[in-house]
Order: sequence, then C-alpha cells, then structure tokens
Amino acid sequence: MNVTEDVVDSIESHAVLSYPEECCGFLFGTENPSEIQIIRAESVSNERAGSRTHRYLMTPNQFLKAEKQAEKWDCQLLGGYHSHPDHPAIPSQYDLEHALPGFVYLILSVREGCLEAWRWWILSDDHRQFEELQLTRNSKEE
Amino acid sequence: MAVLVKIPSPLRRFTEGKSEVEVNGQTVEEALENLIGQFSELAPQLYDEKRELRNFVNLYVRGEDIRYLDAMATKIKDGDEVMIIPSIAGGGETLSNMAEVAATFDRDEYLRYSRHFSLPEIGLGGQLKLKKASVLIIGAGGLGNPASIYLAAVGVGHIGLVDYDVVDLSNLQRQILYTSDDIGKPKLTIAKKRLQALNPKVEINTYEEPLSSANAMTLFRDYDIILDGTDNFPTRYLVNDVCVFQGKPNVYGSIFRFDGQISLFDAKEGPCYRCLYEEPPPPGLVPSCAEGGVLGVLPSVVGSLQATEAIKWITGAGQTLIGRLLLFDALSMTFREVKLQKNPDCVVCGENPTITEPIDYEGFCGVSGLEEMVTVPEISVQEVKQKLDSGDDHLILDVRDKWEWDIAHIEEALFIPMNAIPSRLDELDPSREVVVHCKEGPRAIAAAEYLIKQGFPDVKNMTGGIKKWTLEVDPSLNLY
Repeated sequence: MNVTEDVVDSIESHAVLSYPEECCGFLFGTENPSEIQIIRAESVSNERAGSRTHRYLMTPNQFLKAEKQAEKWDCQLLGGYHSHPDHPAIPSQYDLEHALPGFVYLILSVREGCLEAWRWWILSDDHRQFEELQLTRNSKEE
Repeated sequence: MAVLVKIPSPLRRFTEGKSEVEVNGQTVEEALENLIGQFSELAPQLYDEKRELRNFVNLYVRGEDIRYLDAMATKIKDGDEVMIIPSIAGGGETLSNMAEVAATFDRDEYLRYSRHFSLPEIGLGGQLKLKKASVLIIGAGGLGNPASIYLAAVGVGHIGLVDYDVVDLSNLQRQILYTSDDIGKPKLTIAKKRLQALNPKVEINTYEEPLSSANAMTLFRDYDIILDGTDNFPTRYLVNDVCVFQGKPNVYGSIFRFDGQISLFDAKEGPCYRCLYEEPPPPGLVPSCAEGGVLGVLPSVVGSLQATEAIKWITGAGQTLIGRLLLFDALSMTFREVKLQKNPDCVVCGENPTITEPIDYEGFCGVSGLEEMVTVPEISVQEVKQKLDSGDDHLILDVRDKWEWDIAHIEEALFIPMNAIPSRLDELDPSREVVVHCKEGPRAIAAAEYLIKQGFPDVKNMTGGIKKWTLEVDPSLNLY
C-alpha cells in the first residue's frame, strides 16, 4: 500500500470538516500484484438520508461516475474512504455487512473533531472479516 | 436472449478482467445464473450464505433499478444491458449503542479491563461479549489451571469447571492454581476460591463429578464454548462428540513431554477432533503424562493458548485456529502449523453421521487395567543404515502420523500410523526383524511393546527416531 501525501491531506481535512458526520469518497490509483498505489481521492457527498453521524452511503450513481472518472484519468477505481466520528478506525459490523469484495477501505477515526487514526482494510476472501493492509511508504517521504 | 452484463471494476478479478460478459437468459435472475455458470468464483461475491444478494449489489436493466421493475423476475430482451453497480455503505457504531454498552460496566471494571478497552479489536464491545460469555473447562489440571486463570482475569462472565480429583503433591510441578497447603483437598474447592479472589466479578460454577456420557449433554447445554483440558482419550472423544451434537466450539489442547497441540474444533465451520484422529490409539500404545512425563511449564503454554483461542472466538478478534493444528515443541522452541481438512465421512460431523448421541467411550477406547511391562531392544541409526546398505532382510516400520511422514521419511520404511497397527498386523511378517521408529522414541517403544505382545519375536526400537536419523545419517531430510 502506498499513498501520496496530498491525497492524505485532502482526505484528512474532509474527515475533520465533516465531523460530527461521516464523510466519504473514492480512491483511485494503480494496482499490480505486489503493490496498490493510491494517487487520487475524490470526495463525494454522504447520500445517507439520516443518521449521518454513524452511517454513510455512496450511491450506484456516484459509483458509476467514479468509474468513468477513473477511465478519464487512466487509472483504476480501487477503493473508498469514510470516517468514523468518535469510533475506532476499524470496520464495524455494519461495514462488514455492506462490504464490497476487492475494494480497499480506508477508515479514519475522528475523536472530538480531531483526526485520531487512519487504517486500511480489505474484505477477506470468505467475507467474514476485514484484513488490514499495511502502508509500506508514503511517496513524499522517499 | 443474449444480453451484456456489465461488471464493476472491483469484481473484474473474478471475471478474468472482463468488464462485460455476454450471457443468455429471459430474466435478470437467469442472466445472473448464467454469469455465475461462466465465472463460479462470482457466486460467493454476489450472494451470501442464504443465497440472497449481498447488500452492495444493485442491478439495473435499461438504466432502471430492478427494485422498481419486477426485481429478479424482471424480463430482459435481446441486446439489453444488465449492470451490476455497487453502492458503498457503512459506518461506525451508533453512539446510543455504545453508551448502552458503556453503562454495563462499573468503575471497578473500567479500571480492571482498561488494557482491553484500549485495544480496538476488543474495546467496549468485545469486553461486553466476554462478560456475557460462558466457558466450560473440562479438567482443573495442567491445562485447565492457566486457562481458567486467564479467562477469569479477562472477565469471562460465567466459567464452569468439571473435575473430581484432589490435589496431589505430584500436581504442583505444573498445576499453578494450587499450593503445598492444598494437598489432599478437592481441586475445585481451591480453584473456585482462587479464581473468585482474582476476579469477584465473574461467576464460577463447579461440577465435582467425572464427565461422562450420562451428564455431558446436560452440562454442556448452558455454555457457549467448551475448553478441553483432559488427559485421556475417552473424555477427549466424549467432549468432541457432544460439542458436535450441540454445535459448540471445542478448544482443544494436549500435551506430552515437551510437545503440545492446540486447535479450535468447530464442526459447523471446520473439522472436528475425529476428522483428525478417527479412532483412539489402542490402549497402552500412547503413554500418559504420568508415564511419559511432561515439562512443568508446558501445560501453561498450551493452556494459555487455549484461553487465547476462546477469547478470540468470543470477541471475534483475529483469525482462530479453525482448520489448523498448531504444534509446539518446547525443546526446539518452535511452532509449526498443519492444515486440517474436514472429513466428509466423519462418523460424527460428516455428511452421514452414524454417531448422534454419546456412546460408551471407555469401551470405544478399550481402556483396561495395567498390563505387564516388556523391554524393547534398541538399535542405533548407524546399525540400521548398515543393515539397509548390506541388504539384510528386515523391515523398518514408521508409526508416526501422516503429516509427519509427509515432512520427512526413510525411503525404505513401511508406513503404518500407530492407531492403524492393530488392524494392519497382517502386513507385517513375524519371521522378519522389525525396526520401529517414530519421531524420537516414545511412540516407537509403545508400538514395539505392542508387537512383542502380539508374538513378534524380533522387534527393536531405532534409538532417537527419525530425528537422530536425520542428524546422523541423512541430513537431506527435513527436521521438525
């Protein structure tokens, strides 16, 4: 897993500004067997009708648009991010029940308006849990 | 009708990278079935265990959500496009839920379990699961002691202990709940007192009786998970079978000398103990810990690992040992792992089980009184090698388990696992010399004793087993 720093910055500020509601967005980049590289993030509005302090929704329409965007940018739609206000950056049961296989999930925990942690996850092959992805490097630190 | 199904990018890894697939069908349902027919790996991605579409799946025909058409029965016609479009939903726990959970712990518990609360994998939710959980521990000995100490310490709400023994001086080398003052007292009385002193917040129930086919079904009923700390085969098979009958997980642990084995048997999701060992070894073939000895600290290593598995199963943290057997060797200080398969022909958890209620386990394991001792002659690995090279007419008999044979074996050896020897005696020629070996010796000696008692005149133990053979004769073999 590798992500560029300006992507990190944009997602972090989106999460903090959305507090106490959950924010969400898509992640774009390139993937080969040895590494997933995230090079762009695109915030979208949380389309969930209520309970946005602990729920988010990205609609099929938003998903389609994101796929088209990926084509335009000549990269892949690899995952999505969302924030957990006042809750750890680990997938909840609800996340598990709605998870899309093969999709990278970045979860950010925001405690009392401050970013606490962010962790990367992907659904296991048996759909029973999320497995954590390790961030190998951050492009600007090279 | 030929239609195109559009595949979203995350699912293309299951369609050989294809973004659209041509399929036939009259309805959306048929189109999906035919798609899965071409790419079977898609089935578990799109459908859950109940064969219902997973939450993320949205289907569109001619640009319309099928929920507003005729759902899966929506008709399709030639040239239509069926689009699978995910929606991405999720989110943290509800605040009101968490507040409710938080209110179930008092100030003392907050401090007591504070190191658990700060682990995201456990946290408030996991600690609540522990508090509501019930674990029945069979045996208050070497394995049951450390397991019960940790389960009480971490706040498992209801702990049951089954044992009927009294504390003996020879227990104190490894049974860490008892002290020299406790000799002669019932184990459960002491265990309950110590565990309650460690954590007054948990409930300890004691059952001072031998576990038997008569009481096991009733005893197990009130518990979520069973932890097997027994030291004998009849009880081990009894625990396994009743767990399978009642659909309960069984945290298995066993110890011998310097070696330990740990697994989590849950027949609903993986193999059971009988899938691993169909039948017990003939009586006398495997020496007990009392005969063979056991390293004092070994049961605490294994019992603590069993407690770890119980905690993980209860809280849902991490990956459990379901389908895996963990092997610990204290002498080489190594852990190995063996994959376990569910046996479809298993008599208790297979497709057509023949055992559906507790049986006579003493009879099944053929447990009888003490038998007279015989002495087994020894032969060194070098002598065996010489005999092999000179073409002597003798037989090398490997009595280890299949997984050990797969790791390393002597080319010329005949492989008959210990348990199978009685039923395969006819494969052995009593007129030939038989050299028996296992990994290091104990099993080979027991097997040789058995053969001698069966009337084989010339049986020897290859001293030091395949381990010594590997170190001194054939270093190309794998050590384990």
